[in-house]
Amino acid sequence: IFKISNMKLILHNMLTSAMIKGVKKGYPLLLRATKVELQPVEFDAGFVVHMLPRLDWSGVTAAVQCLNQLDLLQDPLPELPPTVPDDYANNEDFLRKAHIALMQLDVIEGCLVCPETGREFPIAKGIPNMLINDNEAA
Amino acid sequence: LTLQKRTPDTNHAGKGDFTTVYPASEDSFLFLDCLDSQADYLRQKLKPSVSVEIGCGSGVISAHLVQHVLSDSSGVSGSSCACLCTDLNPAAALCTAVTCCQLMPVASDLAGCLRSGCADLVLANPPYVPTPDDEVGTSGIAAAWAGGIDGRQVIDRLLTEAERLLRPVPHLSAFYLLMLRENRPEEVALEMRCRGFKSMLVVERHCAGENLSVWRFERGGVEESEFRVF
Repeated sequence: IFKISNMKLILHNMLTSAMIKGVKKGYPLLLRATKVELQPVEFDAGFVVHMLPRLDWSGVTAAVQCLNQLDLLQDPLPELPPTVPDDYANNEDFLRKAHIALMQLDVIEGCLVCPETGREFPIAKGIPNMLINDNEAA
Repeated sequence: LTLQKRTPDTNHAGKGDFTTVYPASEDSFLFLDCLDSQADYLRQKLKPSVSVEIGCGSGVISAHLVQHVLSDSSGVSGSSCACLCTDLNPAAALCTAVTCCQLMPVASDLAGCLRSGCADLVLANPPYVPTPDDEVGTSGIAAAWAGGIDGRQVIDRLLTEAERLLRPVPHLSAFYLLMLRENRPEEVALEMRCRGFKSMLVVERHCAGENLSVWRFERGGVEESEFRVF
């Protein structure tokens, strides 16, 4: 059985459409998912603690809100606080909620949308395609 | 502690749905040897949270990084590093996902879709073969090796891209790049020094008529107190 990696919110957090001509920030991309799945990934507090300072947290909360509004899962993703708590390194409850969003949520199909131009980037088989045409490039 | 010489399985590359994907070859294996020899540096000094491989092909290099180099001594893949992989060929991005489920592939021209300053570590095994410039960046497997004039057309873009992706000073960051003798690596190293990077030749090998080397370009590294910027 092949276990294929699908797009995680960590990757979403790093993506931008700033390679498009005229785009100033291009982040965060709107997450218009059509198929998502929750994977049973073992909780690793160390991994989450290590990753958190490298993420733009508002991009994470925006993605979670987006997904919960789309109502694609049996249960909504746990709500995340607007800012990372100061005691995050020892706050297991918070880390576990962050882990679900960052590591368990697989985006399999759908698209990402540039917040400034509306340009859509497809996600197929869990892989986002951020290729643009030459005439779109900055 | 001896590192076992293990390599990720990429038998699916170069066939079927992945016919246009460059299978792991001598240059890839040299890159794996480079990472193996840099294991202490990567695990103890750099300790990357985010790695970006540009032009991942089959995904063998990033797979090796996460499974064998960054994992702890018991062999458990508990690496605290998000390994992003980009490729111009969507089939390569999919092939990479099959090679290792821990990798995060995306189809992209270089890494234009990734935010500036997101990476501690950038890896690139670029198309380095000197070819006519119209063979560079085409669809299909030629894009995997066609490097244009002096084999430098993609490499020269990569220098700027890596510089952009890596975390700014004072954070420690590193960029590993494979080159062919004809690419004039010492000239590239000098260019990187002008851009604020220390240059170091890590491994060099003569394979099948090609003299290949992997270089590390390193920037920053002042001892930092805990940064917690959200």
